[in-house]
Amino acid sequence: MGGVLDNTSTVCHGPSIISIHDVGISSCTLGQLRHRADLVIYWGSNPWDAHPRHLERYTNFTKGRFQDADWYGYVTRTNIHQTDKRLSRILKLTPGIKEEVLPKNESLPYKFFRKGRKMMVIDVRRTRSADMADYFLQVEPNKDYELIEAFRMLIKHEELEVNEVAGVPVEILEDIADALINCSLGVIFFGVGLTMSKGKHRNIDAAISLVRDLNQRTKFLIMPMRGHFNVTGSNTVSTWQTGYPFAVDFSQGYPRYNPGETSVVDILRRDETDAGLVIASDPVSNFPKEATSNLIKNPLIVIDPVETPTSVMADVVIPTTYVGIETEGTAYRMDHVPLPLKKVVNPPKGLPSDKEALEKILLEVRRMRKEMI
Amino acid sequence: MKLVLKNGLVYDPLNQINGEKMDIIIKDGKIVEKTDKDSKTIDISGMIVMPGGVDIHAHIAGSEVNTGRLLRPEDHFKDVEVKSNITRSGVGRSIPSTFTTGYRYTRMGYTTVMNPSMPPLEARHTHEELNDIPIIDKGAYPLLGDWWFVLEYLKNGLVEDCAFHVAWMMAATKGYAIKLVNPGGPESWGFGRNVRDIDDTVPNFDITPREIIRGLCKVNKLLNLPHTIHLHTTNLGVPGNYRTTLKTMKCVEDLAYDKKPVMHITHVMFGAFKGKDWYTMSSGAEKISKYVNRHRHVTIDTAQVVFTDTTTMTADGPFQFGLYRLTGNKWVNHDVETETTGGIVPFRYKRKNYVHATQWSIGLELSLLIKSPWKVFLTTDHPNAAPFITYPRIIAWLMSKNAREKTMKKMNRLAVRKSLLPSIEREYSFYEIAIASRAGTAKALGLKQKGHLGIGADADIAVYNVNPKQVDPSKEYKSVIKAFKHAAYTIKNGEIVSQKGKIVKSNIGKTYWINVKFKSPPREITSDLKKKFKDYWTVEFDNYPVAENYLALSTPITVEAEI
Repeated sequence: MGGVLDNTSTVCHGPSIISIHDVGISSCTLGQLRHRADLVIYWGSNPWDAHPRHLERYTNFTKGRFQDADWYGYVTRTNIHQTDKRLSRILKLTPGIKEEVLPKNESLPYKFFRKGRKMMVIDVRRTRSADMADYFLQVEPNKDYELIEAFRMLIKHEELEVNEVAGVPVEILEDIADALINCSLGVIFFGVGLTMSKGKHRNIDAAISLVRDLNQRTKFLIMPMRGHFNVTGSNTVSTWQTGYPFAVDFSQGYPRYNPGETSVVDILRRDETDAGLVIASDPVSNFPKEATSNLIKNPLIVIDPVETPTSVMADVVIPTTYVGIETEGTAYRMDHVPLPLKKVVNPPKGLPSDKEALEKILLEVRRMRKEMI
Repeated sequence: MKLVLKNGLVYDPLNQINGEKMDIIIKDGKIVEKTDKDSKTIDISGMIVMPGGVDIHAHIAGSEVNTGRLLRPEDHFKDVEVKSNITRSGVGRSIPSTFTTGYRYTRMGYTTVMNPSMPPLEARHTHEELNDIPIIDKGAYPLLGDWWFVLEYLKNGLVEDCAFHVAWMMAATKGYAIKLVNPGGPESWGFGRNVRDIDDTVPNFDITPREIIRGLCKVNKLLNLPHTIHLHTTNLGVPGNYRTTLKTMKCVEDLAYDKKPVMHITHVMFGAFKGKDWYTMSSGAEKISKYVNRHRHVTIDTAQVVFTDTTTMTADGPFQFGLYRLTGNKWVNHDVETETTGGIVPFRYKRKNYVHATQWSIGLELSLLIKSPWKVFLTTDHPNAAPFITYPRIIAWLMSKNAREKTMKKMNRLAVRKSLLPSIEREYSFYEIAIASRAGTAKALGLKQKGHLGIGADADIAVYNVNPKQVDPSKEYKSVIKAFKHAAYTIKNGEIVSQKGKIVKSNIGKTYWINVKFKSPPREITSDLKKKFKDYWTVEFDNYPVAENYLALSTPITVEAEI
């Protein structure tokens, strides 16, 4: 057809991919972290809410070959937290005593200077994951880049000539830099808080470079906290078939890639499309208004098992089966481990799977164009 | 389809045919004796006919290759493959997309390619990619040298138990041979360390690389696998490492039997450095060649450097980290739980660089100093030393001293002065090229249907438009390059798939894998595995094996084990 193929990375972890083009990435599968990681940092991501089973299966709350689970620490921390809450409630009710404001960014707990698993959360606000962590570092919004660069300087033994960076006193940063160097295997998980805040892929460039630098001193890894079901899978397949992970333009007869030009939002904004095919995603709720209105003014076909704002706007809707419930399939985990998905129940009669629906369309297109492939 | 190739000059080393004028008769994908009346005849007078090429070591699919593609969009911009009515579009250069890989191998007359490093956990991914590589037949070697089960069983001397598990793994990952990469190194790299010698201890496991290599070599024999163990040596890319390579070859000397090879050492060029550091680095090819000439238990492939921009990728994480520190280039590291690791660094080999020029020289010295081409095969360890599309140029260097001298003229002077190459007169004949690129590799891989044109062999054939009676490859090496770049005809499974560089038919290639049958009553081999599975991996036991229907054209090879 010579169209443009894009996937949800374009509005999610696209910047992470662009930074991999720039500097590469030092990563691993999740089991490696389960067995070995003793310093786990969540940066701009909130696994307790967004990846609920992540902590318990892959990082701090699971027992690996070389590292123990940290349930005990979590329970202790939760107890302290609850006690704090009760105390502050009592204080509030007691007349005459003013409520003390908790200081922001306290110094690093003693645990960070010992062996064993540690968890740190770096975020702009205290999320529920931050409550679980051994240490929470609050960074001012859109100042992540400064903070990462400060860490990079510190681990190279440079001195910072300011009192605080991104709202964090330099003394604390120095302690954290020491903890980063002294771990036996550390990992940074970053989420959309880092990819989609100011700086975008430059933030990730800096974070990956920090990990590169840290690898000169110890072992360090970094991993994007990806979501959107099988988005990793669509990146993977797109890469092996075309060489590029997303935003692939076939209009010249060969794959072209230039995010910003060939990515779907930009194409829609320039109003260059004359038809759209959306498979199992919901651009109408996620894209900018301009792009959405250009998408729906042209013929729009949606292949999706569920009703979404996009399918409501579509000219043609082809309902399909759920992969992993009604059809077998394969999905790629966020660390690129492919997993088979089983069929549990029979689909409603006559409903094709995504694959069948697309294959039939392809067959018809080829018949019309008299191609042989 | 019935086909007769008439009057070609046939080079079929496995049947001792050296440039004889013969007809090759093809029926239903096999080579047969008698012509049918309705056969299509193609006159190929003045052209040479060889079995389809068999590449023993080329990274063409799988998670690390794909991460390489992801890492290097700038590599793809240079080189694109436009779609046609028959072929699909793609991109190329050092890490081509899957369809492009299939087409380009086919154009060069290669019909079988082995993918040498498959992390078992990500085997499903490797096979999905292999399915998307059209035309050529393929197989993959699972990385087993750092698998915790192997380390634990071998440490306790339980070779038979280890063999049962390796056999399970071969079936579960649909693998073809045992691959070891810097045994013990990737495991140490889990905590950022490495092993520096084959007698170093692997941290936390109390086992040495020597024990792993010997153990898996015994396992290979117990299981009767068609290929030997496929080994990437310790200390790769470090000056002075030729000693480690020699030690590695020696360590299985006593395990040889029936004068057959028991070990294949891959990309030996990277393990043949002499000297103490990069300033004093020189070629250790002479020592290694001497050893290989005197012993029968080892085969090697060279990994010939071609001066170009390429991408290095191995499962040797610590080595890739070293390369990243050396170059400062972008770097990918990918650790795989309980099994292995991997790394990728883009790299440019420069003519004027002393080390790179010496590496170029080492590859050719190995190929030329080792007397028997049955022991040394042509590879570039695609894409580590160069992309596979450079094979025709390497063939020219092997066949022509003139070609070598021409390259040396423009190379780093010191490297040329120290190199042995100017004193080597040997030039490969077409017969020897056929051994190094197809017959020898097919024999080493134990692929009985491949690499020859005898009756009953698979009709995978390459026809090159060069007449050895008129062209002197030593002088007219450019016409040799031209001929090998685009085969006049590539025939796969009895059908013409490529003609003068144009793909005319795109069919599906087979995927070979090993299915081991045991003599003894089937033991519950997976009981220990099942018990430990949840502790060792983060996937479920049932989700781990790749089912046979995942393979586009599954071709199991059943072998009978000794146990």
